Amino acid sequence: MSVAPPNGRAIGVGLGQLHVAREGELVAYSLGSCVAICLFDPVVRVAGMAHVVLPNAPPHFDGGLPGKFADTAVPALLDALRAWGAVPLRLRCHLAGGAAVLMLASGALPDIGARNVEAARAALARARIAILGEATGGTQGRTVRLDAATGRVRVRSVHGPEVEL
Amino acid sequence: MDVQMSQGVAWPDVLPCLAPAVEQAATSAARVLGEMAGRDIAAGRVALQPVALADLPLVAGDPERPVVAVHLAVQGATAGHILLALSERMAHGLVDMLLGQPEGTTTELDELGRSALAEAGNVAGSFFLTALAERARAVLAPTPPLVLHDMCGAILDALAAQLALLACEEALVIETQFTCDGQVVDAAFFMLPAPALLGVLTGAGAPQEVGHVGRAP
Repeated sequence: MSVAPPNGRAIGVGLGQLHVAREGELVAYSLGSCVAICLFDPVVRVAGMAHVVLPNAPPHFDGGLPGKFADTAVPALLDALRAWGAVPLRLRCHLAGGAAVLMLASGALPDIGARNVEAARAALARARIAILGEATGGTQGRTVRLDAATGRVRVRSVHGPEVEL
Repeated sequence: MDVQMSQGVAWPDVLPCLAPAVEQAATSAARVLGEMAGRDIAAGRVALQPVALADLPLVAGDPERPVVAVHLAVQGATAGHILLALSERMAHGLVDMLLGQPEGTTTELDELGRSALAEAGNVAGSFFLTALAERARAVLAPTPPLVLHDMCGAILDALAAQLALLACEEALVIETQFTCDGQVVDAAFFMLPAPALLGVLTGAGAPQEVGHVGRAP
């Protein structure tokens, strides 16, 4: 199963995946508690996105899907971007997602969204990457689009207008 | 698709064992929904499908499609999730049926409408769980219902993350469609059992009491 590009330019970035591109649009569709980490180097014009599912990799993580965890996604995405000529110090970063979609009054389920956002911020701080804009938290899901050529990041919630970060 | 769960349960063994219980549970849930709505609601196609967690947000089609859903969690070590997902139009129609209003009265979900849907989801989910639990000789109880109005994929994304936290790589998606007065309606009932719950349902795990008891059906 794969995400069908709606206009032929979109590249769906699914749960736990990370992707780097110079053109087209990287899209994380309908994030719930997951977080999209969006990076863009404005000089070499290359963009990368990771679709993070959980905050931290388990102790014996085999490295199979580094985009799945915030703490492994950031270094893996940086490695991928470096391979395309990007320089970490130049990277522009945006975060989106991390909603508490299943917020039960009883607190029966852990708020994975908040933990994901916190872990992504920490991993980016360790890599000395500043976050320029965020659309995180709340209780509604979001679709996030990163234009690989310009670095523009647009976010939309259900029935909400699309906003640029 | 790999037929072996990451937790070591073989799908070819699990699915035939589980299917009759799920069909009976779906019939029970549909019947009680019909009684509440005063309409002839029946369980349609019942599908059991192992899905990689990465694909879970796409399992109900367009992930950006707005839905109204009632979510119930099964708590404890044998965790799982139940979701009654309706298109917005179907949700408004169901509210009218539940409140005895002329069709078309509800155009937006207010507190009363959300409460009616929560009750319907709670009762249907509880009947579904009870029917499964009786077959498995276990006691399974849901959390209180939560009404969600969001992108379908966002709800499933959040459920995928909850299952990933339990080290699941795949989920068994149990999907039931409904018919109302003989017509297939835009509503689906999903159950996503975590591996331990799957073990209980298929007799691989010891019967046990789990979870906090919500409102009784």
